[in-house]
Amino acid sequence: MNFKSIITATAIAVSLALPAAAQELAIGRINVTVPFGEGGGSDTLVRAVAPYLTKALENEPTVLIRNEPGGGGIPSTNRFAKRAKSDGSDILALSSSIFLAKTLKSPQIDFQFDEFVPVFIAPMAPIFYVSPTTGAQATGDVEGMRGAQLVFGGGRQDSADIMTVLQFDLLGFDIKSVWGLERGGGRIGFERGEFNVDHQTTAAYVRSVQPLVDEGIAITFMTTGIIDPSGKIVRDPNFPDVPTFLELYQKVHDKPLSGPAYEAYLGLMGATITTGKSIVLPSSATREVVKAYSEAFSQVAGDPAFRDATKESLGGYQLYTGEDAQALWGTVTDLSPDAYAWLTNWYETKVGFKLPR
Amino acid sequence: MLEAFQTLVGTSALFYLFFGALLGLFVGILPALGGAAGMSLLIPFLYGMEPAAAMAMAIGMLATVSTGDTISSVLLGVPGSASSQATVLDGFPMAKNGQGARALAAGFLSSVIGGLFGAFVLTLTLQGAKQVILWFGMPEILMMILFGVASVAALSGKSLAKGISICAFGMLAASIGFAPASGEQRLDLGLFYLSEGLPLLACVIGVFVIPEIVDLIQQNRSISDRPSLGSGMRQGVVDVLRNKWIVFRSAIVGCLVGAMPGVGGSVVDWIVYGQTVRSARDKSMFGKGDVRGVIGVESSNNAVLGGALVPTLLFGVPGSGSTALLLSALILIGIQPGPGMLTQDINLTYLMIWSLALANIIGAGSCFLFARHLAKLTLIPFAWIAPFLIVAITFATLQINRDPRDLFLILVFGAIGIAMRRFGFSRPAFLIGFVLQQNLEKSLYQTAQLYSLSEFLFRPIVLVLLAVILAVLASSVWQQLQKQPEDREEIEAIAKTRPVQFILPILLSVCFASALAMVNDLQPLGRLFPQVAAGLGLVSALILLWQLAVGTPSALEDQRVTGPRYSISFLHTIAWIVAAVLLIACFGFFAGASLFLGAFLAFEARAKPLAIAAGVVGIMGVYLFLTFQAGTYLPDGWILSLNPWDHF
Repeated sequence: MNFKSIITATAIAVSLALPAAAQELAIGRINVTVPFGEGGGSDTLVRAVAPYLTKALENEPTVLIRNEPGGGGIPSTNRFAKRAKSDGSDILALSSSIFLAKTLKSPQIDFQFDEFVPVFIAPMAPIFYVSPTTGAQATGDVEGMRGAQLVFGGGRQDSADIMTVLQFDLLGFDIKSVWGLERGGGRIGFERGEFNVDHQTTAAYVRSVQPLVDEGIAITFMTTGIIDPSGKIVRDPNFPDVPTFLELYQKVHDKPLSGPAYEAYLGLMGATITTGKSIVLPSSATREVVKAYSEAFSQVAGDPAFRDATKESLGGYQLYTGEDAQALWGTVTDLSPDAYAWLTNWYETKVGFKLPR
Repeated sequence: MLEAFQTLVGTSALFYLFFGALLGLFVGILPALGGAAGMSLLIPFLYGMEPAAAMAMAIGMLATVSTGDTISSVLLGVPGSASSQATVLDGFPMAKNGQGARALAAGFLSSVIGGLFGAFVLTLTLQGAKQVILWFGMPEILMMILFGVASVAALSGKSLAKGISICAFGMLAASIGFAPASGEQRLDLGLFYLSEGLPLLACVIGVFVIPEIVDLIQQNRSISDRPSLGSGMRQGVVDVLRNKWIVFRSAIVGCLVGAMPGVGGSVVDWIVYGQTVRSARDKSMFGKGDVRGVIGVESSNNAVLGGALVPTLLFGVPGSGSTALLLSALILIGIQPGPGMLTQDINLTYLMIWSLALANIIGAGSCFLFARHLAKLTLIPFAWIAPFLIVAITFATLQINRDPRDLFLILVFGAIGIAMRRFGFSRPAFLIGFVLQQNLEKSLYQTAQLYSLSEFLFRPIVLVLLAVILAVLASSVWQQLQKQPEDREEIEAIAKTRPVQFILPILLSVCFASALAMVNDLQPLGRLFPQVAAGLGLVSALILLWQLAVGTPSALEDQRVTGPRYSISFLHTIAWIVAAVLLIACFGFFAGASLFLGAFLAFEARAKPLAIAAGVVGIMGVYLFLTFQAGTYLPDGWILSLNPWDHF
């Protein structure tokens, strides 16, 4: 037993002896674990949330942010799953890359999704655009693009960038993928004409792609859409006029995407988009703690000042807290053996990438 | 443009610019800490600041790092940051000859000229930049990277075989981890720790800084060759004016290299140094204290930032580690880099340019004014500087990945670095291999995927660059062949330690051969690059072994024989560094570093208890303040966690 746990034990003993405290969350400090370095998406979100979270909790606890980079965030998340305290003093910022690693069965992952309870979820969806050289004339113009050789530049095969390849492949296009690029590099390659398909998040799209669309260098093509808490896929609220991939699929094939391919698609979508940026408690947290955090985060998400401050970085999507967040969390599950086998085979034949068995 | 200037001067932004510039000088002077470390310290503060003030501070910090680093490079012989490694080559010998002030004045003046030139180029290119970057497709970028690799030939020193083999070793070390083309894990020995590849900072510190610190500790008592500032400030200014062509040319190269995504500031100084030496008529003084070596390097490393900002701001593609952090800082304060920087955010863009120009003037100005005071650093005995350096590098390393295992990596690469230094393997060649590997492999693979050979060879910029590369290679090889045979007596003395000179080439050969065996069962796209690197490395290491066996003079080198003798034993020195790493890994940074500092100062510097206490408390206070301010924390110790934040 180390010094720290002795203090904690004493503190608990003392607090048990006292009459129940007025606040629901009787902690003086919140440790936020960010499994990435400073300056990344998760870190930015947490640092934006911190002051509002302090205000929203009655005894205004200090928020201490601990960045634990390395290993793609996996070791830090493993550690959190094992060691986080249940009294609400430990919370974790999760990001889509960790969800995706879990969905793709990275052997390093040592936790289950149900070991966490989400208290805040910010979805983040990409928008896809193509070059007019593909033959496309308008948004969703699959017919015009028929027969075009698509070329896409992505980051890693096991990152969210795979969604572009998967979707265009399922639409029946021959898409060649080149890897090892930064997201900005992919766009520059697109501007240079080396790639003719690309995607960006809403914020980056508004900044860097909208001018290209206005100049006629790029054509907005489709979105993935987002999953709402009832589990339905709806059009991206930022682009209500742009069809989703599933709509286009139905139009092209005259039947909805189904079977293991659909399940695999849904799994990847849940991991990369729906729960893209989340803040979670360990599932060992007591009901009071979960309730206190849920209420605090509802207050944060409802604060116009917070919405305004994060409009750019979070893309202006609806933010989910409380039961909605937990319902959304339910949409992220491990793939069934069938779906995983389908995905493994797809990866191997189309991208030449081996998924762990 | 004027509006941006008014914003900068008329608001608190100016104050933040000053603060940033001073922090940059400080980070620059502290060895091993560079722009990237400074940015990672700064980023947490930026959140919630006015974009103008935040950018003034960030640019101010980045701009002066390569001014401040001149001081430690010249006076201590330890590079203040990665971009002034080449300054040491001539700056330090000058200081030893009593010409420290001359070297510094020349360095500061060329720094400010280079920095202003960078700001000027940035302004000019902003309008046409978009078109220029669009001309530079993957094939052109590939050729630029190859240009960087070709400079290895010039940096190899006496033996080309040594240069090539150590550069191949750097490439192989950097290709550990994720293979970009096939997405496979390679050469990771089955360790998850290696799956993201070796951390650059730990390797660079190991190879470049550890051998220098070992040297500092060893020569502790040979006070006579400790340099003083000397005189000749005015002479330094005259030197710069006399060599304005070098200043100008190096600044251009600095801007160009800076604008190349991924190449960055840590290589430009070597490229420029090589170029300065090549183009000089009288080469006899280079490496022994030629002011032109300082002028060229210092002008280029300040110009880098101006160039690096072009792709960073306009396309969101950073040119170096520190601009990658600048990019995250921009996004942090709500600015999305991209063509929008020329329209909506044009004022902020101009403000950054003004900040760049002003910070360079502030940096060089304060260096000129306070050079005498800063020079007093050199009056402190090395036994007092070395332990603080060790603490500084461990802090910088832990700050990046928060992983104590990186400290052991420093020891491993420190050992390799010491051997490289002793036996004449070019450390810059290693670094160029290490830094360029990723980009080289990626752009080779991407270019091969997207272009056919004939498409590749019919691009005009590719052809021009190809011609330049071939010319550079040919002239370097020609110069190698022209070298005069050395003093016979010295060769015979060196030949006596031949058995130990076999160690490194044998180890390298084993490395290359086992790498070849390990990558064999990967997919072709995943193994091609390491196979070529290891193959080339193996061939040159074997040639080297053969040369050693028959006693070819160019292959023989041992600084232990030719260099100065030290009073403190090598093993004794190494033991201290190992002790520092073990203490910090076991008890956390603060407790471990305090124990080490206290012990070192007591035994080696024979300091009084009060002085030890002041030193330990002072430096730990600074680091504690920094970590708390930054809202970051360092990892717990393995045995006992004595980290301060557990107890407040």
